Amino acid sequence: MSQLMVVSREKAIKAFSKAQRWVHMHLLHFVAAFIITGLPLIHKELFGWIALALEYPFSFLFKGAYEPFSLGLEIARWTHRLSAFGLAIVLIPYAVLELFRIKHWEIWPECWSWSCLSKGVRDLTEYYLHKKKRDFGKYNLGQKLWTWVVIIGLIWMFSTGIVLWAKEYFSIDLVLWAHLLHDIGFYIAVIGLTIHVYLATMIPEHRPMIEAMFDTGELPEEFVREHHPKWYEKIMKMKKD
Amino acid sequence: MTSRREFLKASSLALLIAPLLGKPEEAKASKANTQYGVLVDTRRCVDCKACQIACKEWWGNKPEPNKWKTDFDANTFTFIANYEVGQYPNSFLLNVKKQCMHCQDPACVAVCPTGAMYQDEKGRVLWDSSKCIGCRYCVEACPYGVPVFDFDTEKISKCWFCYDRVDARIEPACVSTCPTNALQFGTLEEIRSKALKLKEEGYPVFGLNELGGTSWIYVFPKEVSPQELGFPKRKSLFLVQVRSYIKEIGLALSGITVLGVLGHLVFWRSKREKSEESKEEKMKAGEVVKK
Repeated sequence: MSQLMVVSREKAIKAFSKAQRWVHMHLLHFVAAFIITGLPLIHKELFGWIALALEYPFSFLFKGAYEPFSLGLEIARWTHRLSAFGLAIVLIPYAVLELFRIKHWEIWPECWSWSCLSKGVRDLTEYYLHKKKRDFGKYNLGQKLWTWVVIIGLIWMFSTGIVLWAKEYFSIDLVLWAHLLHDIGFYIAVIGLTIHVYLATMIPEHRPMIEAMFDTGELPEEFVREHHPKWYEKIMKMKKD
Repeated sequence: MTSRREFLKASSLALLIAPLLGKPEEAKASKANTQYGVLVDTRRCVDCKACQIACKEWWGNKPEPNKWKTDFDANTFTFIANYEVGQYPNSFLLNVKKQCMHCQDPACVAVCPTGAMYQDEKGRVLWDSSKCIGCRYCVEACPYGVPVFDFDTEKISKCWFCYDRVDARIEPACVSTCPTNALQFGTLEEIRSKALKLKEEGYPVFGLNELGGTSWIYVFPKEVSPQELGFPKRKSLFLVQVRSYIKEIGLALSGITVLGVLGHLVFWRSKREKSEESKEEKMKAGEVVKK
């Protein structure tokens, strides 16, 4: 057994650092809180029941202060804001950490041209729609785009969210614009997350990625060679050097 | 010719049948749901501010000891704005009373997440204090800048159309105190027909159709354009409308994404099964060759 483990460890490639895994885990918790508490505010007809569910445990504390639905929304709003505060505490030091190793980010475009972009898109359709192997680096075009959507989206949602939170310090028209942009960001997040979570959890071939992100931080060499050949070559070259 | 007897027979029958048809009830209901309106004739306003005081008195709002209020606040549901109109020597001072317009299609009601802001069956835009969480979405949405946030109570505040007085068949406080008849109260139909008549005479009118129509309809002197006087004050309705479209489009796209993902799941699994089958076939074939 121990021999087997040694073998598997030797044949693994480090994909995510401990900090990355920790931040991803907390991002997951906070984003779940954002969506759960944001839904009854944006679509009260469909998700108003979430507000009522949130209200129930607090109904004894704030008895008579508000109508039940309003109390639920107020709790949702405050949970939303506290989550933003918590996420900021997690993300700000991590962002600084990541900025120090910006040159090592694997999400930069490999080349800048239309043909390069069209090759990237073609590769994505070949892989996801025709199940053909492609020479992806650590991240393919879709994964890179998603990471950028997350980075820009977080800045987008934080900045518009701060305007909405401290609205008395901003002009009413700015608040209205912030509201619109916050709404648009929400739908982009929901659509992106649906695809992200689906591709990560529901495709059996991608199972090792889940283990890497939530458990070991390492990917089996075999998996990397098959799904990310360019990255594999890069690592092998680095190992040789 | 019908005889007297036949006439009496017919009329008594009609009297008996009439309640069964339910018409009086309908008439009663329509009377209860009558929409009310006020015509604000700015040509007649002399800036006496009696309406401002009457409003404060009726609603128990704090008085203004030092300076007359020139904008809405938690204690000011109505105020008189003064405008200098025209060019010297043909210029004059125009006094415009401002309060909630009680829109026919209110943006504040549309954006309120708790349902605290609502339009009652009489077309008045009212709000329920126990439901208001002070989110200020209505403050953002109102094109006239009417609802204001009260930092003391952490709730919003605005004109109530003196709903208690109107329900008791008394004119709103501001209307009943107006000495020049610049404020005229009536059913919305009456007010609209008065306003239409004045419009036909060439007076600028605001509130008949603008932004979906309002219950408080304004008439201005001929030299004035309502837009210059802040009717509407802000172009917030456009963004409110865009937001409602974004919500519908966003929900539809999210639904399509979920369906797309499910479709991909079925496709991926079926392909996987096929490739596994072909693998098995190859294995079998290999075994046969080996044999």
